[in-house]
Amino acid sequence: MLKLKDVSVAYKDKKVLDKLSLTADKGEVIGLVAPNGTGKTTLFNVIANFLKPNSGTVSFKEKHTYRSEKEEIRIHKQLATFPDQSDLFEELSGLDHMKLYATMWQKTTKHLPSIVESLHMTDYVKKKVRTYSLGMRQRLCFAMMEAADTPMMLMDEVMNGLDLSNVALISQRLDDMKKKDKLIFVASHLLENLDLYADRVLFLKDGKIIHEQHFHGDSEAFIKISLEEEQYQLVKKTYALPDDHHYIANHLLCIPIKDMLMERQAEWLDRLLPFNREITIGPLGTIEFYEKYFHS
Amino acid sequence: MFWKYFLFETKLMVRNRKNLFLGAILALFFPIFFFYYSDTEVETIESEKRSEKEMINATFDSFPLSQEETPEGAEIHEIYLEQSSLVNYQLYYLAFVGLDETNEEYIENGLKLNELRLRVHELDNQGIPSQYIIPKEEVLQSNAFLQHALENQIQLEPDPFVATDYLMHALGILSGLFFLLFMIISGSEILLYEKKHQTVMKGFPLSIMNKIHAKVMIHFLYMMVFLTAGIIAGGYIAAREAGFGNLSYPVMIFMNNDYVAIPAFQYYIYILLAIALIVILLYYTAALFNTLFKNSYATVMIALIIFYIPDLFLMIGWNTAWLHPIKIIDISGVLSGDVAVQFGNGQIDYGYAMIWLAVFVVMISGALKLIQWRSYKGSNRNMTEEKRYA
Ligand SMILES: Nc1ncnc2c1ncn2[C@@H]1O[C@H](COP(=O)(O)OP(=O)(O)OP(=O)(O)O)[C@@H](O)[C@H]1O
Ligand SMILES: [Mg+2]
Repeated sequence: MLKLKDVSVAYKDKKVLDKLSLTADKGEVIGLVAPNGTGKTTLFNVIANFLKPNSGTVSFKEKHTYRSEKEEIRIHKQLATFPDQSDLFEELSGLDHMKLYATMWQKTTKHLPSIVESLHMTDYVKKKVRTYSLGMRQRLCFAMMEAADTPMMLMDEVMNGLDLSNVALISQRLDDMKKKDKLIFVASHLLENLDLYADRVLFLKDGKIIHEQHFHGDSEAFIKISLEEEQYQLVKKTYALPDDHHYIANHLLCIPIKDMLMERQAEWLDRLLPFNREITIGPLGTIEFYEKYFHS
Repeated sequence: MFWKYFLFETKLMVRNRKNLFLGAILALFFPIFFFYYSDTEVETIESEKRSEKEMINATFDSFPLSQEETPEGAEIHEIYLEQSSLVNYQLYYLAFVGLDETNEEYIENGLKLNELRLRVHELDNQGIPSQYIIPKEEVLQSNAFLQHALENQIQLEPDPFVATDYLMHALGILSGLFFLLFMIISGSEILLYEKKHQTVMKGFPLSIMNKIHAKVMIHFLYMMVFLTAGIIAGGYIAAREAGFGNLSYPVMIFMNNDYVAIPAFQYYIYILLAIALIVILLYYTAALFNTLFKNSYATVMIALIIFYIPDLFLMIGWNTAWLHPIKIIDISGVLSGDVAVQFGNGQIDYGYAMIWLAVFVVMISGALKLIQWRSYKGSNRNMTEEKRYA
């Protein structure tokens, strides 16, 4: 559905995206993670053609590119981008905003009441945005995306300023949207949260996607334990750690157990228990990879 | 979808304080200016004739001794004697017949007087001090008026405070600089406004030109509402204080290098049509300047400078005809012939103005389109070129 090829973006001396390529299909939620100022927003801007890349192409459904305004409009009919809270119109109501997005992309506004209700906005949606709190604004931005209901959505900073219950609420909505066969990009700093609904997470570094983490069904399980450097060295010396183990960001030891027999797994647990640290078992999540790539 | 977008822009417009303020001033100008205007001394026909008489006497006094030595000088002397008697007769008719429509003697004397004045111009105004020369345009204008009065049996002196006359005057004051400023300031952020709401407004499946058309259209309608309200309010006040006036009373306009009389209602149709076109032109211009300069102050300043360029060039003695179309913004001056006289270009009349207005609108929206089109040429460009107006 979406294809980026060798996209490069540079500001003066600084390379933000460097020959980045990417393909994505409908029905996917794709997480995008990287520290502040790496180029997530830049990448979204290129996908939506708010920014022309210095080189490289963006194409949709293998035929549409941003070569003319007509084509751009054709693409934009399928694509909505997440608004910034600070860009909302203070003097208009939340409903005005939602109606705008609904009428720009859909012929109807019939779907709005159910969105308002499911995002718990009924109490305030008719008031002026000026009176909203951070979290209320953020939910409105999300509601606008739902109002647009496009096949493809770019959601930058989608969880910004939301409390735990609202993060859970939006996560649920994202998961529902995925089932409606949409392609959704989510840039977020809530890493664990991404594991809940993302099909894969892209790690952006030095202008490239350095790792792509897939989350479907049979992800490899690991024993995960936080160890000091000396403790890690001790374990490494004392026992034969499998070759494909990770020691992430100098503190997290992850031992793959997929191909291990039950007894061997129990053996490892016995060895690690004396360290008296929390031990978890499960696939490597976004957090672990994030630490691996950005903290070491 | 265009209309949905238009409706949204309307929502924004009615919440725009700056434009509400400008619109209110525009609307209030007409009723408020009436009170100032009705306090001013207005020249009556009689006082005008008296000052003409004094002027003729003064001219006699200042003729040089050698005046009658050349044939031209002698003829002018002769003419002034005759003019003096004509003006005296006119004063007599005014006193004894009055200003009603049957005062044909007065009119015929006036026509004769104008004929003589034109003859003096032909003789190069020899011996006449420059402050006593009546400009040719004024003579032609008066001639056209008298001719029309004679043919159509109209009353010679209307009350300047009646609504139909007052509004013409008020539009004349507004026309030109004031109007330009009003419209350009109200449109100074016509596209830039969106910049503060970029992430909300970008990315609609709508062409930029359609967005611009919608914005121009809503600005236009909004200001027209205030202008209409102002004209109605001003007209109402004037009508209450001095009467409505007569919509078929002749108004002198400059056309085809001549002064012609048209009925007041026709004048209003002309000027309101032109104003509508001017407003549209100014908003497209604001949109273009927003695109080019990305700054609302620059938009206003540059529009202002362009409006005065023909005057500046005229001052330094470089009067070129290709700059004259800019002055059609002062539509009242175009209709009265003042602009034509100021720039010595007899072509500048209503037809000229309307054609140029249309040409400008097409040119400027064409330029906007070209800029949008160019932004898609060459698929990859340098990043420093920020895309379009956003
Ligand atoms: N207009 C610009 N001119 C120069 N540099 C820019 C411009 N816009 C972005 N950058 C630079 O590009 C880099 C990537 O910015 P971007 O906004 O894409 O980061 P991000 O990953 O979205 O960060 P965050 O998590 O803080 O939102 C930053 O280093 C930023 O300084
Ligand atoms: Mg960002």
